[in-house]
Amino acid sequence: MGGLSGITSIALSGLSVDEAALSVTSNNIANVNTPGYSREVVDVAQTTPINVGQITYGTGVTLQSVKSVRDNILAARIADENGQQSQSQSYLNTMNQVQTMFNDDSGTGLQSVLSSFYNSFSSLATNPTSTSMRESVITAAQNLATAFNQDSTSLQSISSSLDQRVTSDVSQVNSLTAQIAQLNAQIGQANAADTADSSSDTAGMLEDQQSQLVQTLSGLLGTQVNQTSNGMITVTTSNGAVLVAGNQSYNLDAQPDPVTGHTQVYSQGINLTSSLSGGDIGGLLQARDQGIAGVQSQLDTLAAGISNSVNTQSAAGYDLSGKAGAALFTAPPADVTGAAANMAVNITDPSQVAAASTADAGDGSNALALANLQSTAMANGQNPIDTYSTLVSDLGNNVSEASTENTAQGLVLTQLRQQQSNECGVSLDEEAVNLIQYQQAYEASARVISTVSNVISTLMQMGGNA
Amino acid sequence: MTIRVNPNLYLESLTELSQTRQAEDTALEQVSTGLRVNNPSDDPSAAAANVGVQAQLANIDQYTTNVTSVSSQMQVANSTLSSAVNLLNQAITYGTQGGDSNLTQANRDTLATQIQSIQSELVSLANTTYQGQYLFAGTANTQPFQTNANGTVSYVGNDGTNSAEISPGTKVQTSLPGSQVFGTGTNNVFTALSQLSATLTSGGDVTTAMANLTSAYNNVSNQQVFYGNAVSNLENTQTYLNNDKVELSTQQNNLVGIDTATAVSNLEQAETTRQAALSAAGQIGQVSLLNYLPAPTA
Repeated sequence: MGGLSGITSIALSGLSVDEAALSVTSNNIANVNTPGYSREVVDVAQTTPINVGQITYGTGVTLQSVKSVRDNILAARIADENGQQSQSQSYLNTMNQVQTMFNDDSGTGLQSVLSSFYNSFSSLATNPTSTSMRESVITAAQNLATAFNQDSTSLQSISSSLDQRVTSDVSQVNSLTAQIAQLNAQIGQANAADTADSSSDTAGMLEDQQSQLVQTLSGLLGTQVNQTSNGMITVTTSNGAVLVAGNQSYNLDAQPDPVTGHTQVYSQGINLTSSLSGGDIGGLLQARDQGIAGVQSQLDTLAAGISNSVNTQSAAGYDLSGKAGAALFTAPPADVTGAAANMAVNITDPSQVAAASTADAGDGSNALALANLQSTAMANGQNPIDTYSTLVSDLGNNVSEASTENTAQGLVLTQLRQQQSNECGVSLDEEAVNLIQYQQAYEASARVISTVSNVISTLMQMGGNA
Repeated sequence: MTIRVNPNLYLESLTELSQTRQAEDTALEQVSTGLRVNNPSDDPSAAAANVGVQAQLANIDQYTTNVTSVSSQMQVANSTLSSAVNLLNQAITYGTQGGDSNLTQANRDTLATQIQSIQSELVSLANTTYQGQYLFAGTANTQPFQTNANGTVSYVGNDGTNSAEISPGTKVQTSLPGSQVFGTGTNNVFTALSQLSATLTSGGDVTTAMANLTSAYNNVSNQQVFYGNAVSNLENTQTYLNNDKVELSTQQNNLVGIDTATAVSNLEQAETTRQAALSAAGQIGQVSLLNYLPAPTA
């Protein structure tokens, strides 16, 4: 090296590095709004100098690599927080729907039918032989049973819609894990190639794509992501069931439970439903198996408690024809499951309402006793009104806690994403500076070449004149 | 080197915008419903307490209905007994006339007939119904007073009584059995009247019969007092229930309501915050260094 041709080759290396840097800048600008894109930076270094005698000459510049600016630990935290936030969000959306069913201020709750039912007995006590008042009792009992039936049907239909969403989420999870596994295979190859050619960062770009898929996956299901040495990742559910290992993905399988009909999630034949958490699926399962199931069981307890206590008190009394009182409601199941859904009025003849506590038809004492059941503890240790208000309070607390949690998670997530954006996001200002910087450097290198060219012409002219 | 700041401000402003939007929605809902608690989650303990208060309010309404219906029923009984007392007064007058030794038997027979007709009027009063229910049958569901072939009157009701609930934990007895109202033994209105008419017909001394009739009369007057007192007590109860209802409504409003001034001022505040957030978001990203670079020359 050395001499005029050496200078040209140095300038040429500058040109080619500046061109590469401009290309990276251009790619950053083009991807300014691409989700999951991490800005890329060029890593340049001077080439090995040469020694000519005592003097060391530089030989130009070389592009070491193009690197994505990425923080894998931060990305993992974001995925985790994203999973938790998605879970509380889908739980919250569902339970918000449930709580509108128990809004007593706008008249959707059970309080008014409960009060009307018990108070119909209080009215009957003022005129125990009145057929119209006896009919009012039966109507109020039917209204009460219908309200319990409808609430159960609504809860059931919300649960069924959750089942469908779990199924569709599971198929999305499967498609994502398949893509992640495929990218794993490509990243493995790219890493090998990058190691061979230090200026290449194909793996980095693939990792951006993969990282974006992991983020989407975490919104669907809570996962654990572990980096393996060759740049591949292993993805498991939060309780350890493998979803992706190497270039292999393992599908989840959504199947309806043979008894309840609720969608269960299996991995390689093992039922994971109760241990899945995080993401949309985690929230849907939490809402279905805890939130809604809890409300349903409270409704069942209430319906069974009312039916049993009213039936017992009726049996202690006498009807209009002096016969021992018949059960007003059909007997609820012993374990109370399904009591609300199947609550039904057992008698249709108003004379069968057991208003009397003696065989005298005009007696209304048993009607009074029936009216007072509203403030009498049932089998669960609480009276009907208190049992219902506990349901309202539990439901309200669940929703309000989920809402607070969701807001907090949202703020954390926003902060984490900002932090990620601080580090990895494309700044147009920065890219504009790069653009000018590399443009000027390019122009300068080009000027070097034209200067060398002039110098050579001068030399040639000197030769021509000689 | 300075710290690199988030080049993407939209993320931040989006969070801000959705929060202000939520606050605005909440404020708007509070203004339009007049309620602070629109869903159980808005204040779970208030929503639960509200269930209890609403149940109490429903009970107050029921007590009011009971008071109205019991009160009407007892007013009917009261005025029935007023008529009975008047009729008995008349019978006593006839009896006193019949005791006059100057009367002819024909005159006495006339008086006896009048007393018999008073008796049959009294039987129909004693069988008065209110909305299909016999007022003086005890807890039996049959016509309580029946006139036998020999003209005597038998009581076939029972001695039971009914009660209704008229305020939390308070029951009021709504009726007296016919046996008590129209007397038993020497107090019995119908026996005394039969005795008086028989004595007049037979021309005997009416003293004993009159003594029995007076005693029966006193008994009925005394029983009437029960109904009169009950009606006035029910009026007091109604006042108490009205006050209770006002108190419970206030309690309910404190639990779940919101006063309009607060709600409107919350809404205005939420709107101002939202407008500020919106105009801030509108300023984002309008310029970058690129705006100040010279256009590339050809």
